[in-house]
Amino acid sequence: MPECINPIWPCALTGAVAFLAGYTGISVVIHGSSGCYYYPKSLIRTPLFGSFILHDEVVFGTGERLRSVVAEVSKRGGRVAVVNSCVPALMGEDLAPYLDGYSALFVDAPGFLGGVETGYRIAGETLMGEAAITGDGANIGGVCLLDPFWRGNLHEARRMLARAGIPVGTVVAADHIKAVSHASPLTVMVNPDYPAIIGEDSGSLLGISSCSDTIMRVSERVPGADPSPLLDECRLAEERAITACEKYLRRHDPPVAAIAAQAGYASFFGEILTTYLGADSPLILPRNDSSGVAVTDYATIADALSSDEYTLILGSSYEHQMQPCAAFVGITPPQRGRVILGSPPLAGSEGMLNGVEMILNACMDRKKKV
Amino acid sequence: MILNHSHTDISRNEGCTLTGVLSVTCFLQDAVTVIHGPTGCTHHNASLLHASLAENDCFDIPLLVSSNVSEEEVIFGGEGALMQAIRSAESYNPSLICVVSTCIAETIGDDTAAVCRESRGVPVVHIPGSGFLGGGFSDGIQNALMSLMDLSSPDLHSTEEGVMIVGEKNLEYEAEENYAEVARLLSLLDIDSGLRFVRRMPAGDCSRISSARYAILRDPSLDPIGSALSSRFGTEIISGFPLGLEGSLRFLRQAGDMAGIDALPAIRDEEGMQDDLVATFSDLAGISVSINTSMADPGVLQVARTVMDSLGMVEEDPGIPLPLPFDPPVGTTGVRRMLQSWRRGISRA
Repeated sequence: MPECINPIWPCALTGAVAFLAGYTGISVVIHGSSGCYYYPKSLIRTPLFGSFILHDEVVFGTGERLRSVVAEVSKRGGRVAVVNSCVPALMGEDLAPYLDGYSALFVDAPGFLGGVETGYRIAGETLMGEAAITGDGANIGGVCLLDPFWRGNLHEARRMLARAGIPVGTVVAADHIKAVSHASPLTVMVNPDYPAIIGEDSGSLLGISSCSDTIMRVSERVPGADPSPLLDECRLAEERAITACEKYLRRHDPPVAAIAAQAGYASFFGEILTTYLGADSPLILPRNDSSGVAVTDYATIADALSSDEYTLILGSSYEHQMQPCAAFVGITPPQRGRVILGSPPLAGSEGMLNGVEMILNACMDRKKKV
Repeated sequence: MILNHSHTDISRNEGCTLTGVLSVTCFLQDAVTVIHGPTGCTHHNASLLHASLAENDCFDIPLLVSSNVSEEEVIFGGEGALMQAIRSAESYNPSLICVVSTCIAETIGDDTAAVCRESRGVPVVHIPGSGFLGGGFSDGIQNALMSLMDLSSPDLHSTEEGVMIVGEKNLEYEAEENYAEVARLLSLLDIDSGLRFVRRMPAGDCSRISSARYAILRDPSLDPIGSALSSRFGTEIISGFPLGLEGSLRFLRQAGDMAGIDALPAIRDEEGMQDDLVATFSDLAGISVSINTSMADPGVLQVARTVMDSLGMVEEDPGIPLPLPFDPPVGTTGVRRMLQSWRRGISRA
């Protein structure tokens, strides 16, 4: 693998931990050295546990240490999930015997396997080995605690499904652990870069057209569902977005934009920019490789952003630092130096309106400064 | 939430050794740090540095080159990837390349030190940084300082003016303010602060370490570094920044003795400043307060209780809980900030 300068996207271990930490009724133990604990802990604001292995354990085996930590964590009640990190994965120990007698889920997600999405998928597939599809309706998929919009997306997806009379099965991954045993056969996605894991992927709620298509598709398969109120809502939302963008464009040129984000969010914002604001196709620097080659190297991103005079940057605080004079919309973690307390969505009709609103406000704020 | 079951090894409580190393090497100007391990290890630290430096209004993150160890290197060895990463680092024309090994590099048995010893046009220093082997964060700092010390020679005959500051906590929010307080106290003795080993120091200045006659360590945990400086270069050492009111006066005495300067006038000046400080906060006298000692640093508790005594505050349960700083307050100025925080806490109670 070629070397990488200041990589800015977390590893598979972090993705696996973020997946599991979204569930209540299960405690997550990171089996690894201290650094492998502290970084996910700094990003994921839920209780996490660590085995903090040291030299002797690496030489003589980590199993006993893991067992003692799992024993202690089990006293809290509920289940335990163990996420294996690079070093114990390399050692090739058979850790299963050390978890005997505990209701423990073992997830092998060493960081060297890839990025966040890989770890999320591995953890999901491991947990969903225990899942059962027993109900009607649709699951909500693509929720990940690392996503700055996860709570907003979840609220919006629940609202939309309820309005269409579609029951929610389970939420992947933000639910009680027992909810995986009464999942639904269909899954609607709020962030398509995190895989559906369970149920048939029935489409995304990102963007108005996807949202309408997804709701209609699911409604056809759920008895009693009625998509019409939502379809009306989507039409009205789009009219509001168009009106606001047209007003902006009466006084301003379309922004010249660059987007550094997961591929799904990048595509969502790219569509807003081209469809409603008449902008040229933005430069897209995807964090993951679902629709091309991932660009996670700080130096490469900095070079790309200096290749043109971008007036609008959508990304993380890294990109904001690289182009401090451009209008900025924070859509990608990390968002350092900003206070984020509320739960705005990107999914659903409210998410589309929020996306348009963020872009227009950022562009107008920049105009006031220039 | 941490589970610490080991009664014999405190390193389970600490952050990663690698992060400790980087908290030093990333503050060397014109140096590049290569991290030999998976990109995840580099990302974790790039993100941490991004956050910590932004808090101090520094918006450029240091250059970290990852050797990007993946499954292939895990199976077939990662020394080739390391060599490629060092070549990439060389392309930036740095004055120094610091190569830090990680848990993975150590576990797969790569000989990182041997790769670093190969002759190149730029000095390459190997610093052990594996989290489970090398202990914790503070061991990482010591590993880095010890390795960088090797770039200096005891044969240098010139003598540095000023006192070298060793091992500043570069990720500390108040790092610059703490340094300023030490510099202020030294100025009372007409002593300048000199090399900052290592905080925003040119990499080339590592060669000058041996020429410093005096050094002040950030805290006593760096005593092994102090001992190495003394035995290798004959440097005289003060074993920590001044903590609290009494500590500031003691520091002046030590620094004066070390430099052969009569410290009494400086101590009198500082005592006057401390008397003024106590008078400024006389409204806190007699107030019943409590301190949560369970997680507090012993140094913080000692300084806090001394200050409470000076002000006539009453520690009892129940009392208004006092907020304590994470690290012991440095100097008289640090105590002032702690008292301001106490006053705010009491007014909100």
